[in-house]
Amino acid sequence: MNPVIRFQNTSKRYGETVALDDVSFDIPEGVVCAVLGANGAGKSTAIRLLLGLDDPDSGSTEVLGMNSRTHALEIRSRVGYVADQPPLYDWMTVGEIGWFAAGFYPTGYQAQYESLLRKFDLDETQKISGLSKGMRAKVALSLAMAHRPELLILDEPTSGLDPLVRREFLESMIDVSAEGRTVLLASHQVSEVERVADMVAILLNGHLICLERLEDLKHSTQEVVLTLPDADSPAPDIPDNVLAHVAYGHEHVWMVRALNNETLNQQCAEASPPAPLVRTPGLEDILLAILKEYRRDVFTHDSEISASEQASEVPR
Amino acid sequence: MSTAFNRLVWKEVRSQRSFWLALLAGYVAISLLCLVLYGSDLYETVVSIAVMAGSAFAIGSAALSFSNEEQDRTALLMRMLPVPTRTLAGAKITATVLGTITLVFVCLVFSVVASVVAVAVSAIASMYWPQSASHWSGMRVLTEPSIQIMPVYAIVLGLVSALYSRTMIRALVLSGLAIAILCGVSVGKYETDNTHLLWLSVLIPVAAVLATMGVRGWHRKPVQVLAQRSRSQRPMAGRLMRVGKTWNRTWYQLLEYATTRQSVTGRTAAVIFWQECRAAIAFSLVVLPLAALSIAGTALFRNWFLPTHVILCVVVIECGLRTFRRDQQKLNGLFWSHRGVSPGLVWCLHVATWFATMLVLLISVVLIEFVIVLVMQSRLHSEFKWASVLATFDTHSRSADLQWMPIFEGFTAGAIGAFAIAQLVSRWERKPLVAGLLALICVTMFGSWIGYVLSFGMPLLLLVWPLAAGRTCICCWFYDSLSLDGSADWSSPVLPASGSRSYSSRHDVAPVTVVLGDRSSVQQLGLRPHSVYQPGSQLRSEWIYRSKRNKRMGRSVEACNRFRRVTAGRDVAAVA
Repeated sequence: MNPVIRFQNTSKRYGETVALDDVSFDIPEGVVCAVLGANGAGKSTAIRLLLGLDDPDSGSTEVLGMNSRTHALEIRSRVGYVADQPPLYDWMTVGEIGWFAAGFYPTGYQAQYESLLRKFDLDETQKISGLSKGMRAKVALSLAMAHRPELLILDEPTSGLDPLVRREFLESMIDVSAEGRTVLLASHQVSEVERVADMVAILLNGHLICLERLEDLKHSTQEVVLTLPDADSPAPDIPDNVLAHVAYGHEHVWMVRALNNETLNQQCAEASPPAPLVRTPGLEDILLAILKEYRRDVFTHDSEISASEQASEVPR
Repeated sequence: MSTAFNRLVWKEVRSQRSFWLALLAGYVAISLLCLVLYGSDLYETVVSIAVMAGSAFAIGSAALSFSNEEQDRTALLMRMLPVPTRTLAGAKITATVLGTITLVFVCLVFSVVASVVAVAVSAIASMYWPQSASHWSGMRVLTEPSIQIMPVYAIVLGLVSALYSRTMIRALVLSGLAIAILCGVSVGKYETDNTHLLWLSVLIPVAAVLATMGVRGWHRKPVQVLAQRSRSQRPMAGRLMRVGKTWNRTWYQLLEYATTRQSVTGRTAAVIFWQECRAAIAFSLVVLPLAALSIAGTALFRNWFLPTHVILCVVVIECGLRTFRRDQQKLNGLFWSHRGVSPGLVWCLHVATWFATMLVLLISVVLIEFVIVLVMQSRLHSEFKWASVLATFDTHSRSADLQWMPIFEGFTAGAIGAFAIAQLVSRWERKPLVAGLLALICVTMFGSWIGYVLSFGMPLLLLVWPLAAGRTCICCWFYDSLSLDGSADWSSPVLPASGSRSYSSRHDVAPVTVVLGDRSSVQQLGLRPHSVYQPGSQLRSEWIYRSKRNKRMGRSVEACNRFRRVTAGRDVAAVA
């Protein structure tokens, strides 16, 4: 089965800033994929490249099997896009903007748009300038979904919305996904993403550091809490893939991937503390742990480079 | 034509409807006045004004077609539509051309109807006030018939500037400048007839190529903000910015000095004076060189540049609009929160500063004209007399019947009236561009009224001065009604909790006022004061921090809260 979205060694720079650095990944059909990452991680750049609003410096991006660079118009006709702050003409009414957009899509757009308006409880005669932020977001979503796109791209769609509207929005995503269409969702609201996403892609400073099914990620990651007799006691070595380790006095917390319980118990028995508490963390904890660990790696790597550079500059 | 094209044209026409109607209204107002003032020159005048209105629409519509979308952030919606670039650009150009043609057509139809009315009006008027020989002819300098080819250039240049500039004001200024330069070059080369403008047609294909390149870039590749070098990295801009920083530092020192005065009134006067001076000096530095260039152009060539009367008019209007513009746009009622200081005093200080600026600028412009006349005496164009203030004075002073006084009265009354009108307009309209256009129309009508009164030899003191004074009084009354709410409790902090995001306003500007015990505390906080306002009598200084970016704003708010915690709110009040 062809992937709906494909990044092939895609890189994009804006001057000195690296927005995307050699990113490659595929997103299959019919999933809700959440793209997570801090501000400036490259989420919006990735979306712009997908929609053909910008060209990559190297590599390529494909949407629905078409190259974003050469088939931008066709992609836009088959993809729905909702921006963070939806760009709408304030002087139009809700009905007028639907009528205006209907001129660019095949027959049936207007009817579908009107049904979406009814679903979201929007008044056609109301001016867009008089709408609240949540209502504007609903209008934007209706416009993006009225031509029944095969791929729906949402860039921070729920930022600044109240919980009720947010819930409605997310339910719509679930509906879209249930129809077998694909949703790409860039968001900071990790707790919400957790509720709807099938896949998670984590970007940091233009690098893709994780692309995994959410269930797999959650099942393979565990939090180990160990309370030592006192703060001076040495913490036991956890042999598995440790994402993060934090010590609060004599309490130590590890975020571990692919935890081997037998090895853990063995290590703990040697250190003779009480039995460790193992629990399943939330996506937000995992994300923070991954980001922290990645940053630490980068920092260590940079420090090593600068140390070696300094050493090489020492006169003999 | 495809449905997509039709919808795009509909969208463009609908979005430019207000501008189209405003120009039509302006045309109706001006041509009605001309009907009364011109008499036999009626046909030439109204046709020329109709073409001028068309040109204004063409340049405005073309210049705003792309930059407006960029500024209103609707450009992304355009780019996301599955429509080729040629359809998009074609629709915008079609809407502009259609609007221009229909505006000129409607204006001409109106002029035919109005000319019938004019005959009746003239007949009735001549029965009561027999017209004197001296007609007011200030309008004539604006109505050169050779500008009739201008709409074509206006559309092309406006489109190009809109595509490459991306903000409305910049697009309008660029296209206006381009047209002015074209006219200047053209007139400098040929002075005999109007056919010389045809050589400019070579520029149309060049501009069309530029527009095609620009529109592709606009549609496919939105501006890469991050790819551009920052201003400080560009050599010329960097140098200019350093000049700005030096001036800022000096200005802050002057402002700090102003806050050391003992009496509340003295401090208020000093602070407001320095605040307004900062804007007034920058404004003057821009206006005077432009005025000098325009007058020199007018003196050397024909009336392709703005006549001095119009420059004076623009200066007066802009000074009037600027008197309260910043407070109207940013702070609104907060501006009046000077506890212990009368709003009337604040009003007077603002008006006095800008009125003084206006006077200085008017005198400077007349002096510039005087110098240019002295320097270029041998090369002055014969029609310069229509555009020159000095020539107007000279003509009237040589006349046996008229003395200097009525002309001086006319100019003074015009300046005071226009200044008051501009203030009044800024009360209702906060958008600078719209307010400027509105004020220009109102002032044109007011000027025509003065000219009308003068042409009948009526005493100005009886008619014009009460009008100007009345407008000023209305203006005062409106601003007084915005004075500080006496029931408000300004002593307790009303700053929201740290991290609150309730500051986002329409203009994305968040004023945060912090009243501090002393200035050293501000330095300890590591904050940069944006401007200083006058506090209540028991406090020594008040600092307003303002930031256009939420990040910086958040830091300011956090620091304010920290300061509140440190001082336990004893002598601290904050208003957000």
